[in-house]
Amino acid sequence: MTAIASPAAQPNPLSRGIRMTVIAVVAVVAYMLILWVLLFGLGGRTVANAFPEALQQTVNALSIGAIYALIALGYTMVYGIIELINFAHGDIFMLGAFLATVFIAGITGNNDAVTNIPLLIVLLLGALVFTMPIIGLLNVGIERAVYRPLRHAPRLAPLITAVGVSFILQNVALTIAGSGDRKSPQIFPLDWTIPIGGAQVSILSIFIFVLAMLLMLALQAFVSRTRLGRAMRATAQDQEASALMGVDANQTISLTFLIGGVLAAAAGLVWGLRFGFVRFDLGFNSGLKAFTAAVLGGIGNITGAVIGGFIIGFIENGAASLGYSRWSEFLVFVILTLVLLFKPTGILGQLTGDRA
Amino acid sequence: MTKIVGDPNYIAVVGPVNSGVAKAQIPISNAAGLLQCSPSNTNTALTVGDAAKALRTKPNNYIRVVTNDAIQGPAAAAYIITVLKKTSVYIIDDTETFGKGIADSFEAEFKKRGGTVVKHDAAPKTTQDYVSIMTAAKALNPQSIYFGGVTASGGARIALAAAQVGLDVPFVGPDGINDGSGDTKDSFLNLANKVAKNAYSTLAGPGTFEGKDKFDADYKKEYGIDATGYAGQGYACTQVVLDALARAAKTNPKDSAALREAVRVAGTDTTYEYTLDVGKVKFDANGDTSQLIVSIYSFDPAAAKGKGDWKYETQVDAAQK
Amino acid sequence: MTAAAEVLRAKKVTKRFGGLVAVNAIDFTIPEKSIVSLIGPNGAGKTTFFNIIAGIYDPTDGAIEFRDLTMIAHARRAWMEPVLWVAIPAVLGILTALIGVAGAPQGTVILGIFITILALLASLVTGVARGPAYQRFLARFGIFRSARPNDMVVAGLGRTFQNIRLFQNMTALENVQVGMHSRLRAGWYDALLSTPRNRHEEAFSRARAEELLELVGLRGEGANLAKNLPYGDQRRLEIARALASNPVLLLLDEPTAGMNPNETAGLTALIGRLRRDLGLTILLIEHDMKVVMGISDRVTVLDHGEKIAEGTPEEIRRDPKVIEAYLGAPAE
Repeated sequence: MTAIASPAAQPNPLSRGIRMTVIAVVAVVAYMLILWVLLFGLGGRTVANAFPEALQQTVNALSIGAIYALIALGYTMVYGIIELINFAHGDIFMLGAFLATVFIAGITGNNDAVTNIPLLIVLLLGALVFTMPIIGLLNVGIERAVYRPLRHAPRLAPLITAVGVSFILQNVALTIAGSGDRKSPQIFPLDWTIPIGGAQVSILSIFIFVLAMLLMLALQAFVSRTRLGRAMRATAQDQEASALMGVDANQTISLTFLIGGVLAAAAGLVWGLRFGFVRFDLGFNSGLKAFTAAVLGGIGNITGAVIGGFIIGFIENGAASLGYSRWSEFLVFVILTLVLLFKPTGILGQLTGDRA
Repeated sequence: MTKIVGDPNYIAVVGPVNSGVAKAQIPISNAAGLLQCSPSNTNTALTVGDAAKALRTKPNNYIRVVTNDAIQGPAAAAYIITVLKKTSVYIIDDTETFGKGIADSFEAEFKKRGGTVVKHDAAPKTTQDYVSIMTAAKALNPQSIYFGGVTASGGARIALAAAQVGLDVPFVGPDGINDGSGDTKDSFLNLANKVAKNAYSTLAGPGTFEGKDKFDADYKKEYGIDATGYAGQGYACTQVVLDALARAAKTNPKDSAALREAVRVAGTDTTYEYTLDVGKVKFDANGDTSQLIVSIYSFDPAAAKGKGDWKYETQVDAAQK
Repeated sequence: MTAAAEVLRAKKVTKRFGGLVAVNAIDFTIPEKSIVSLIGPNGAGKTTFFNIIAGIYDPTDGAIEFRDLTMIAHARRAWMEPVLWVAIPAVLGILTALIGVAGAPQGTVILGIFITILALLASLVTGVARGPAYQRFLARFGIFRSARPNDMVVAGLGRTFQNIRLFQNMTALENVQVGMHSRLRAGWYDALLSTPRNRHEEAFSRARAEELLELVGLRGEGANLAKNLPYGDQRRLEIARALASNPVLLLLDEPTAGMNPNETAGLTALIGRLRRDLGLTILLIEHDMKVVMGISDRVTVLDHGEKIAEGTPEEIRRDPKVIEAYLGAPAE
């Protein structure tokens, strides 16, 4: 079984948290500096105007990386607890994006920016409060109705079923919303930016990053320091033993699906805000990237999924920044292959420990 | 198509709409000698070059009343430089046959006319993050953007992302984004409405012709929807087929197979000049029209009851160059 | 002894795996505050019987009463549960569709859809929670489901494993806290809102876990990962974890397996202390006859899934059937 690793599993969680933060900050700054050099080295920019661009792109990378990370958490947690690659998770994200879009469009009625700050906050909170439980419960319901009866079936059965569920969800969206792009209200005014170092950092990017970080920190605290979080880790390590300690495996698995769905719904909301469209097959590509992120970070590992999500975001952004957008998917999978070649368990694979 | 070919009652076909579909249909209709007139296929490879030859085993049966992408792309380049007076452009295509082809022909013409292409990037339709791509585009300071592709492969998403990063320059695209008003589901204008104020699109045929107003009014009366895109061309194709049928009938064909062949011969006659709603037209041996007109549209936010629509601006006639 | 003083009664418990009878019609009782041992040669059905009591396997026949409640029996109509779970929303949905087709006003149809979704969510939530009311509702339809392992823990059963199954990547303290799971109440909303209950419970469970670690002789080891503890300590940690749920009955599956004589003596003393100080009833599977004969009040002998003898250690020692059963496989 795979464990969901957490800082509390280490003797000194605080120092580990600080170390991780420092590594993350150094990595982000390093990316920005490398991009800066590459932009004026290869991209034909001048040294001076390449810097704001590099900064801007780093912010973009953090935004898209945060979205991938939120989705990847759903893959990794479900894999950690029942060793199922939940192919339908990307489509859960897509439905979250649709639901958030429906909610916001239903209230604002059009596609315009909302400059009234209290109204904007109410809209954002409302969209989260509306979509998160619904999508979370939908995910729970899918597990209850479809995966649970197959819990003890051969591993391939739930896997194929997950693919089937993915198609069902996609087709539900296709039937209801049609095959084209549906516009999603971009309620953040486009001119809300903060000038930093010559770049215009949009408030929306900051919102996306901060929201994602808050959710991930809350998840980390939940998993490492609460009764249900402990039960989740115990179930991930040894389902039978934890049942014999009084942990209801079904309830814990439902909780895992609930959390995965909730995070995917949040990702769906910020997706619509940032890119202005939703589409029935959105979950396929995003899901694939997020799944890759989870594998890259070490599937079953929560911190790994977050790191993997950001890495994928940075790779894609790097390719786009240097004008090689068409190669971004190629690059993502080359790097995945390289990492798995040298570390088959993913970047943080060692933290998952006993793979029985 | 196989079904239509097998039924002797069919003597000609108007269509298809998409170049990709035409590519699959032409070999079948060609083998059966069935006249096909497309109102909207613009892919150059359907009529010109080895690729076009490979589709045909018999004499040509395929004609189209719109001109091809080799004309459409360059027309946009000419418009940007001569009318919009922008001398640099950022090009992005969707990596697909149509999008890449038209973007390449645009790029060649733009350079030929002395313009600067700051970058020609490509993003497949599965791309997630267009914002990063547009951030890179903005850093290159282009005076305009040209998009090679269709709405479904990212047209509106790119326009939205450009607005997101504050890249506020003319956004020009081919007929792939000229797909209806802001009221039309899935259309470019429906999706990119609020950021489309600087958007332009092209159509590979005349955007206006004598009696267009009456045509539009009649169309609306008959079908209850506004005439969009290539509606006039669809009518033109019907005129071609009827004209060909009238001339074929004069040869007194003995049976339906002979009639079908006679219609094909009459339809593809390179010497005959048709008088269509869109003007006087001849077809060359490849099936391409003599009318090398590309029309340019801009965005009119007030049209379609405030939902916005494409407004005919001008037309570029490559034949008069 | 009176009936009330029996913690556990097994009545004609039978378990068949395909054609193999692993446990055959065993009657068995455990008096309160006693130490009962279950012995027998390898493959005698001890662990299967143990697992039935723990709620891992449903018996093919017979029942287990735990603290005077029938907890475990062969499941009846369990397949009906998911059907019921879907049936109510489905009927509502079909009704809605029918009135929709019949031309009811749009508002009514939307209301119908809304009610259907509510019913679906309601059955979903109750189905996940499986609370007592839900179980009673099922019982009304003749649906009986055996208690699952976690239900048995809630009812007051704790156990350890023959081969250690600690949560290796969690600290010793966390292992014990997981054991306390069923005795704590904080839900996800407590965690989310960081309610006083949550903070109070966390503090309480830590303190209690420290106490239990001290009881089994692992004072100060709480911060170590379970996998880093020495073997004997891991066995002790398993006992602490099992104790964390405040059990009435403790099942110990070969607690001294793999221990040296020194460690064995220490553990035997600990087991005795558990009964004396905590008033626990203990069921033991053990191969070490010295341990069995030393601390058991009663011993039950299984062979080939049958109970062949039962009585005090003295009686068992003299029983010819037992001696015969062990001839080919003498006591280890």
